[in-house]
Formats: sequence, C-alpha cells, structure tokens
Amino acid sequence: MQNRTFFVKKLINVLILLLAVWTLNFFLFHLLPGDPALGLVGPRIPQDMVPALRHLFGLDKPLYEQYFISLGSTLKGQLGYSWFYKDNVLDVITYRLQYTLLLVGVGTFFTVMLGVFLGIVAGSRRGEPLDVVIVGSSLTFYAMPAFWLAMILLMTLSANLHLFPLQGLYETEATNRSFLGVIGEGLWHMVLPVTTFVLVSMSEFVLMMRNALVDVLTEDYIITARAKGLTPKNIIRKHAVPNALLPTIATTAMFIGWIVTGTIMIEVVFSWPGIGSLVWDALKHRDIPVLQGIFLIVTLAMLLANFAADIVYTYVDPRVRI
Amino acid sequence: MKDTEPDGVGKSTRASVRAEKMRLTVVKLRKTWTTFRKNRLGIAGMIILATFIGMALLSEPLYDLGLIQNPNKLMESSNSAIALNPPSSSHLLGTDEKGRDVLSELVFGSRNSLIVGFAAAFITMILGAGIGLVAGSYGKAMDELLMRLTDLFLVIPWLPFAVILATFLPPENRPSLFKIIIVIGITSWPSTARIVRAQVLTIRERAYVERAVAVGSGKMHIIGAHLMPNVFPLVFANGILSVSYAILSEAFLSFLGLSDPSKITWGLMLYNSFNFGGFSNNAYWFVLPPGICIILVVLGFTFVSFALDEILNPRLRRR
Repeated sequence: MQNRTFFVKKLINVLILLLAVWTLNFFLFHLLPGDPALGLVGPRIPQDMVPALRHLFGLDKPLYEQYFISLGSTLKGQLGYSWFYKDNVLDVITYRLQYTLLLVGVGTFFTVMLGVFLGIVAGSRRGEPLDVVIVGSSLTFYAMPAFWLAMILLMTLSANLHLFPLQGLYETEATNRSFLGVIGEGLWHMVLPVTTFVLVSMSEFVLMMRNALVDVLTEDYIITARAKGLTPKNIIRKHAVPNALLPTIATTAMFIGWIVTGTIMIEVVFSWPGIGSLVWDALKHRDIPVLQGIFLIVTLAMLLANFAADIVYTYVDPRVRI
Repeated sequence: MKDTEPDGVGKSTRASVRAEKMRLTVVKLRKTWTTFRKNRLGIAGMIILATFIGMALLSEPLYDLGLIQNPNKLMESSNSAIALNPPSSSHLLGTDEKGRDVLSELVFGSRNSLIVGFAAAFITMILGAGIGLVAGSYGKAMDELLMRLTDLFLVIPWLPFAVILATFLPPENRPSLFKIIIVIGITSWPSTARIVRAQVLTIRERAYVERAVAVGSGKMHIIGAHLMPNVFPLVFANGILSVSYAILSEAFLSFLGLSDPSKITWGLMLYNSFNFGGFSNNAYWFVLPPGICIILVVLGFTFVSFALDEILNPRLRRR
C-alpha cells in the first residue's frame, strides 16, 4: 500500500516535470526572433504569401490556443516537421536513437562493471600506491573533454597504427556481406567509440564507489566484523561493498546528463549514426524542430531513467520508503 | 537605529567592533591558509592555476615584446604557405591550418577560456546562492516553487538544452562568447542552489538566528547579516568547482560550432583542428596542446576545490 503511493507520487512528479520541460520548449520556440513559417519553406518565399502560410501552420491563432493544439499533437506523437530532412521529427529521431542506445547500452554496461570494480580495489587499499594510481587516472579522465579523447584515440590507433576503422558503423563500399560478417564489422567499429565512452564516464563511478567504500569502512559494524575475526576480504565483500553500493545507485541517475553529453561528442568524432551526429547535422543546417525534438526525447529518457533508479533504490534500500 | 545613537560614542564603538571583526577575519583566513598549505593536492592545484592565470595575464605583454603573435588580430588573415607545419624553431608548437602560430593561439586562448570559466562560474554562484538563500530562508510556498524549478533544471539533459538556448538567445545566428557565458551560467546553478539551501536550513535553526528573530530583526537583515556570511565559504568552494565545469562546457559548445570563430579559445582551437584539416592530417601539435591545457586547468580547479572543501567541511577531515 505504502509502496503504491510512493510510486504514484514519483510518477506524478515525472509527469509534472515533463509538462514543464515541454512548456519551456514551446515558449522558447515562440520567442525565437523571426518567423517559424519561414524556417520551413525558406526565406526566399514572396512576402505576400507569408500571411497565408502563417494561417496554414496555425501561427495566426492566439498563443494559448496554439499551446493546447501543440500539446495535443505532441501527445499523439508528433514532434513537428524537420526543416532539413522534410520528414516527421519523431521518425528522424527514432531511426537514429537505436544506434545511440546500442552505444550507450554496451558502454554503460562496461562502465558500471569496471567502475565499481576499480572503485572497490581503490577503496579497500586506501592510501596505497594502487589507490593513488586509480584515483589519479580517474580524475584525469574526468577532466578530459570526451571529443578530445576520441580524436586522440582515432589519430593514434586508427590513422597511424591502422588497428581500428576510422568512422561510422559499416564500410559503405562493401555490399555483399554475410549476416555474421555484418555483426563482426559492426562490433569492430564499436570498439573505439565504446572504449572512449567507458574511459570518460567510468571515473564518476570509480570515485563514487571508492568514497562510499571508504566511508562505510569507518562504520561501527565494520569494527564489529573485524572483532569477530572475519578476514579483511570477507569484511569487504560481505559487509562493506553491499552497503557502499547504495549511494552509487542513487547518484548514478544524476550523471546520466553528463553521459548524454559525452555520447553526443563521441558520436560526432566517430561519425556514429546516432543522436549525437543528428545534433551536429541539425546545428549545421539550423534544423530547429529536430534540435527541439532531441531535447524533448532525451529529457523523457532521463526522467524515465531517474524514475527507474528511484524504484530500484526503494527495493535495495527500504529506508527511503518511510 | 543609527540616527538615535549619540554620535561620538556610537561611532567609536562601531569602529572598534569593526576593527575586532576585521582582526577575527584575518586570524581565520590565516588559519585556513595554514591548513590549506598542508594539503599537497591543493597546493599542486594552486601552482597549476597560478601558471595558467599568469599565462593569460601575460598574453598582451608577450605580444608587445614580439614573442608571440596575436591570433585575434590574425583571425581573418591566412598564410597557406606555412599551414599545418610541424613544430620548428620559429614555431615552437607548429602552425594551424591557416599558418597561425599554435603557441600564440594557446596563450591567447587561455585568456578567453579563463574569462568564460570565471564569468560563467560567477553567474552560477550568484544565481545558485540567491535562489538557495531565498528558498531556504522564506520556506513554504517559495521554497516549494524554487525547489521544483531547481529539480526541473537538474533533470534537463545539459548539452541538448545548452544547444537549444545557444540557438535561441539573441543575437540569433551570431555565435558570441558572451552568449556562451550566459548559457553555461543559466544551465549550471541548480546544484549550488541545493547545497546553499541545505546549509541555510541548518543555520536557520541555530540559537543566534532565533535570537535575532526574537529581537525583531527583519528577514533581509537575517539573510544579510547571518545567513549570507555563513554560506559564503561553501558557495566559494563550489564556485571554484563551477569554473572547471564551465571551462569544459565551453569546450563542448565551441566544439559544436556555437562559439564566436573570431575569439580564440581552447575549445575553438579543437573545433578548428577537427573541422579544417588539422585532425585528418594528423597534426598532433595542433590537437594535443589545447586538450592538455583544458585537462590541467580543470584538474587545478578541482584540486583547489577539494582542498577547500576539506577545510570547510570538518566532517571530511578525518579521512
């Protein structure tokens, strides 16, 4: 019972935030200097046709009426019409989204695994050389612009040593490929983008896990465990790590924003055909509806991720429900 | 109140109170410095920052001495004969795609990058501290409203939002450094606001604030005399960390082509190298230096902020 009210509360919160972001997005678009009607058809249209166009797009209606019409069509899944691709924005984005999800999914898996592992290694050897090395390198990668690391990896490993392909997901020339060949080639192209992704986003997890573990290790129950005669290994594994994982889950959701930022930059450098490259193209062609659509979709994804993290958290840490 | 005080007595008492306050501040600052000096990471950060700030301040004098070129003035000119030359005795870090000296760009870039960093962090501090103070001290409806606003800005994915803002803010179609500063400032205040609010909530419950309320102090007086001085150290440590975020953010936005192409920054240098042949021609001398500078400066600010945090948060000191 208590559980249900908690979920409902969280869900309502998500919906309110979503509406607020949508409203912000709507007003930004309408505060834009210049006529949105001209954005679609281009500035070379005869001046006397502009009122007719404004009427056609419903831009002559009062703002509040436009607001509700617009909200209605968004709820029906229409995010507008791309000025450059001349296609439905949602279709343009969902096509690209699958590639981004592939990169982010694989990348996040390795990031969490490696990050938590290195965090435990560093946290349980506080002050030892290995700890210093892990924390030092994590901080360095944390301070590194993702796109710069991508450029450096491409220049050294692909352009100079020819170990990895230069860009994209597939070689465009090759046409007759077997199914396994396609998969293999895709994986081969994924190595560098995923590596960059893991390196730049891992540091957050390493530092968080390390600090949480260091914190937990000063707790009284750890002293009790030591007094009972447990081996240090057992203390770390059974008593410290499970408790140190809690804040890591809670704070993970907060870093999704930076992960999105990193992904966009990595995609641009590797010409990965996902959302990041779409941002790049849309900026180049000033395709504002697409930029706004991406903004909405990514915000939705982030809100859902936060919501999921909240729910997972209530299962692993019952204290937050009270 | 000031008017009712007899002039002579009031003035001297007030002056001595002020002197005592000053003395205490100096003692406190000296103590902080002693603790800071023992923090090796903090000192390392200070040295890095001093180097780069020195570099930024010396860019004009170095140019006047003829040691470096001014890339801001050379922005339109190009000398394709010496484009993308590797490091040599005349160009210590080689040249870029327009034949400009990379070292000069790096020195002048440090100035603009640091200006963006400090200015954006300043806006972040003002907005964050202001909203946090008001939310924490007024409470109830105001608190609820401002905290929901903070939540909203916290969940919005940073880069897509910054891109939208940078395209929409006037002057449209014209990228400018000022716009970048504004965009970074209004997207990064929420975490500061949260920290400040939390701090205000604990200070508000302390006895001396209650006493001030009992004597009849107004809201503005309590904020100005009791809350603000107590949250300032926290805001300061947080502001220093914001500078590092702002410098990274500038690099991201410049890399997407949202920065003024005539104002050289480290981010713009990387944008140029990626888009105009430096990267594809393997010009490591053009790609490496700006990135290394960004990493060093961000690390410097992070170290100093960590050290300050350790001093201001006694809870952390035992670690």
